[in-house]
Amino acid sequence: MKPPAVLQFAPQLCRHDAVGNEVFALRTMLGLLRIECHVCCDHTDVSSDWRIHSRRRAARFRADTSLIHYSHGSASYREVFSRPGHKTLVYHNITPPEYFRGANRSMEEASRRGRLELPEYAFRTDLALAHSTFSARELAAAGFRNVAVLPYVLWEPLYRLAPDLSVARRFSSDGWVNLLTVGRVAPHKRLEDCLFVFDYFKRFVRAKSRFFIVGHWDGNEAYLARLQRLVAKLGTPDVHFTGRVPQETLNAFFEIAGAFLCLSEHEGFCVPLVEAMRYGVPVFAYASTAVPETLRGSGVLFAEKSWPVIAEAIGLVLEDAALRRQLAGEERRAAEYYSAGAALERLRRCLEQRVFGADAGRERLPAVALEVV
Amino acid sequence: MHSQRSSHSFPETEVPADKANLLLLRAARQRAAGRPAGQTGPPDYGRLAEAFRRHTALDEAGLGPELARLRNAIHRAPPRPPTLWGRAMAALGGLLSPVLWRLMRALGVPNPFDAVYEALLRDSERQLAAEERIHQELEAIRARLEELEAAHRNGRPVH
Repeated sequence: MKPPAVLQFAPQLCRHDAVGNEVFALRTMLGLLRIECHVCCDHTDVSSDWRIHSRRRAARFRADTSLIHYSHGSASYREVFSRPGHKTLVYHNITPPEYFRGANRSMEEASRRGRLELPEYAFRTDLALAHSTFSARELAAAGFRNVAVLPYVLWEPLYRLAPDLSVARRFSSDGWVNLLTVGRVAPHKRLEDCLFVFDYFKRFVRAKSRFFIVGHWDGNEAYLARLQRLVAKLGTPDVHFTGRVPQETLNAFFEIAGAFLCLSEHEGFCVPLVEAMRYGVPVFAYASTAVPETLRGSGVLFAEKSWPVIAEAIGLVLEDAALRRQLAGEERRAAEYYSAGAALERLRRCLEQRVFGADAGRERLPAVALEVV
Repeated sequence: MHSQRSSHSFPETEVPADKANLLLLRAARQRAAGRPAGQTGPPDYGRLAEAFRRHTALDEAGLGPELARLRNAIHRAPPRPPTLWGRAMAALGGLLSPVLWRLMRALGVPNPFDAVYEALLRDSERQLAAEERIHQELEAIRARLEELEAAHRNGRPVH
């Protein structure tokens, strides 16, 4: 009998991108489960030794299921979904187009198209996987019948990279507080709200503080320009837009951060929250969409955006070492749910029950024990 | 393969906001209420937020997003198809882009899009400021008219 095989497809695969990282994480995990995995895409920025194939070559690979990563509209989905064989849609959720209005026309269009075409694929999909119950409900509403929740799979090797020491040398152990937010600079992240919180924090709570906005702004340059003008208008010093950073630098930012801020209005999962939880950085987040679910009861949630109250809450936590330790402990415990071991077991169960379960003659997938990271 | 297993009801895993950290939030509200107001207080964030949204919405009608994108165009090579040709183009772009960028900086050539984009932003802000002024003047005229009407009804002299 041939070994089990899976094909993964995403229109665009980039380094340091949520979709790209999950594709590579899944490939590693499938390898541990002794499942062959091929990765295909239309566009990529990763080098050829990462074994990425073009969509045209996908037909050459035998696969028990195709994992089709869906995060925006693309012309290639029509062709991929019309192929024969078992298909699994991996839903990364789609930021509603309204958020890109005035910021990026092509993103607005890709988002509108992605949401509009999603129901078309419901009848061509055998299994739909969502990263959160929030996203799962969207899939059910779009007409998908066999929907399961499989939380985002983090790519472990990224977190084992040694943090960039130059960041710590420059920004830690100097008595200053570092506030951090991570994610692409995009309108739905509502970074203007984060800037208001930081402005208040710096004026009234802690003058010796910095705010790092870590993430790229590709396609959202107009939004970035507006944010930079807002910073100038407020006259807030020590706001750093870092742009795209290597993983080592990102790890270093998490290590020096005193608090993590997320006031996003739309998240299908929110990977940076889990990263902050793993590092035990107190999280202060607006309770929108899948954010509360991702935090799993840890962190400090706000039902409304009162900028001064959020800033004061950060100040209170930073003043109280015991409270800070308690929050960090809760977050680390909650983050274990997303550990490599737990994710691998979830993936194994999901594939066995929902994909390979149909093939009675096939051997069970091997149970692989992984250390909980 | 369409499983008959329907997964339409998902467990409510959301944690109600504010519940777990009620005490912390109460203390934060009290502290915020005790901070100075007025001249020494924080800026009117609500008004700034509203202005920010109006400015961003105005970008929709202009060339702002396109100009802003062009301004950053040479910073990073876009993703390419994973084919031989795509990889060759990516390698070429990867080599040329930083060279071009450094060359422009070394020669002190200003990015032409910077000036155009800044002018555009200033224009849109001026337009919004003018709209707001007109709105305020109209409000003042309306209030004065109401005052005159009331005075006329009461038979009082108007100044």
